[in-house]
Amino acid sequence: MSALVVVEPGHDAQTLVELARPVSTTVDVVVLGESGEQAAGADSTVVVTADGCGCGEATAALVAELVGAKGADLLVLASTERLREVAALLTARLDAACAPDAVALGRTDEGLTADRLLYGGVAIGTLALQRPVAIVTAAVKPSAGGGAPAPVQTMAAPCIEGKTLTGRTAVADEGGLANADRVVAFGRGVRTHDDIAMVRALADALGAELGCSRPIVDDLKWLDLPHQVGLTGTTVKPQLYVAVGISGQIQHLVGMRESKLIISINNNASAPIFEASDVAVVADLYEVVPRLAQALAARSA
Amino acid sequence: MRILVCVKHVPDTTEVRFDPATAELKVRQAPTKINNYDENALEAGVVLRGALGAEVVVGCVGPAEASKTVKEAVAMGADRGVLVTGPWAGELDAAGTARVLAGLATAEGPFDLVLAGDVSEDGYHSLVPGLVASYLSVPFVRGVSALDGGTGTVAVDRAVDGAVESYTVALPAVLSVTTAINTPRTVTKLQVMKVSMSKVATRSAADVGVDEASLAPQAAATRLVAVRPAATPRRSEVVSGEPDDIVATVIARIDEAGVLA
Ligand SMILES: Cc1cc2nc3c(=O)[nH]c(=O)nc-3n(C[C@H](O)[C@H](O)[C@H](O)COP(=O)(O)OP(=O)(O)OC[C@H]3O[C@@H](n4cnc5c(N)ncnc54)[C@H](O)[C@@H]3O)c2cc1C
Repeated sequence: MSALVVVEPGHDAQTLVELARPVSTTVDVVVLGESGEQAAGADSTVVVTADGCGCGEATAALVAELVGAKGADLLVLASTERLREVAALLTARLDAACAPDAVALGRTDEGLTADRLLYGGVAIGTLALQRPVAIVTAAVKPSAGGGAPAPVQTMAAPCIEGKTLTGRTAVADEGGLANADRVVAFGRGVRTHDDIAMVRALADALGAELGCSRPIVDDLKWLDLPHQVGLTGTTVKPQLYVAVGISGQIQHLVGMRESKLIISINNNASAPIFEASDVAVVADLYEVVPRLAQALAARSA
Repeated sequence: MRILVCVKHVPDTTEVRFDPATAELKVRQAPTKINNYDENALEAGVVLRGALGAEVVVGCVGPAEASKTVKEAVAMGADRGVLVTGPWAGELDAAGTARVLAGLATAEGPFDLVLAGDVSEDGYHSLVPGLVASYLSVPFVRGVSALDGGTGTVAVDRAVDGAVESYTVALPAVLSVTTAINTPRTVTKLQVMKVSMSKVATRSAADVGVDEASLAPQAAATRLVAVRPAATPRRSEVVSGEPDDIVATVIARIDEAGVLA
């Protein structure tokens, strides 16, 4: 297969190159934007600067042209909000088989296959991709920087008629969560808004970012979406994850189960979070969290 | 103005289990419901009708029992619903679903606006709305978090990585919405029961111009061929008792793992 990997500036394309490599003879990388680095392990990297508004339809047209020019039959897109939109448009445009958020690619009697999570993360399914062109999206890491700059090419990207970009406002990046080394997250077991201070004290004592479960964002509106861990929030992979008063439904677990050391505090001994934990603290969080924060803070003082 | 809101009938994913004994997913045993992102799409459609005057039609592709979901959507404020169903309906991939929805939009249309939730809770592909837009050859915006209707156009905001983008979109168009756009109204069981079945029409693939044979799993773009558990449980050490003892043990485990460095 000939694979084309598409990322945005600031992405480390390497994980996507590695995803494609086992099933591909060539892997070329395209960075959509103004500048980008040579991707490790790729056969080539080129920065493609589009002259249009950058809307999804224009980007899809541009990528389709690149796929045609390279004769690529596997397209691997960084799973960002913007490129997920482009993936859908390209799937129609190229009559492709698409597996969003793929975790592995393989080749079997069924042809090319992609593994992805099913039903919120209960299981991993293997999908046969039954079209001449396959599209997958996959999680991408931010680049550490410092790579050699890749050559830049400018291409025309005509926008779709009827859709006009009227504004773009950058939002403050609150999400230190995705790349945090330590995360302390809390859920509904925390009873009042004032009690967040208690959890925050533990996070501070550990040098950790504060995270939460979905009801804290959606129902209680105590924290914003960038703090939410899980399927519809952020996926974290810290060295240490402390879950405070979180039951551990699968949609939460998929966002944190790759963490190195997982410590959970829950007063229900059969809470599902314990199945994903190394240390299962069965206790009232109000008894444990302040004492733990204090002991850690006293130690580092 | 005519608005089509696409809703999916999904299993409650929090009730889906993997059975290691049979290596099968227990999906059929799970209770079913309306996909929660589609409730936001429906609410957006109903709010727009209040502002501009419109007919709001619910479109659903799914098994016969999905009529329950269509009924619920009508109870939430849609004017009527259409369910496209057939023996193929259980195993459709995203492209198949989108072809049927696009067929429905054409057969029951024309529609000025097609709304859908950004993703479905079960499949989580986030492909169908963009595919429908492509098949209908109209503009598409994904991730819509604010929507304002005008004459012949809509103004939308959508959050993308690190930015909020605003677009004006000429109609007809397809938009998929996030849960940030509104808080859907809730309906009681009684309100759902009171919806007359005459408001829920049932159609076949052929009725909406789609060849049934093209919806077979072998003809699909993607087909599920194997399932395995996602993660093996960790062997956890249970720590309980006096709070001070718990604290000592937890700190010891943190230090042993060397995760504070
Ligand atoms: C499509 C979809 C997407 C979703 N995405 C996400 C997501 O991204 N992230 C996410 O987190 N969820 C997500 N959810 C929701 C998820 O299914 C759960 O509902 C949610 O994670 C539960 O949050 P919780 O653990 O805070 O609350 P609960 O389930 O109510 O759990 C609270 C826990 O606190 C414990 N507790 C109570 N009091 C104490 C005490 N004094 N001391 C110690 N423990 C105590 C209880 O035993 C309980 O286990 C999603 C759901 C769906 C359907």
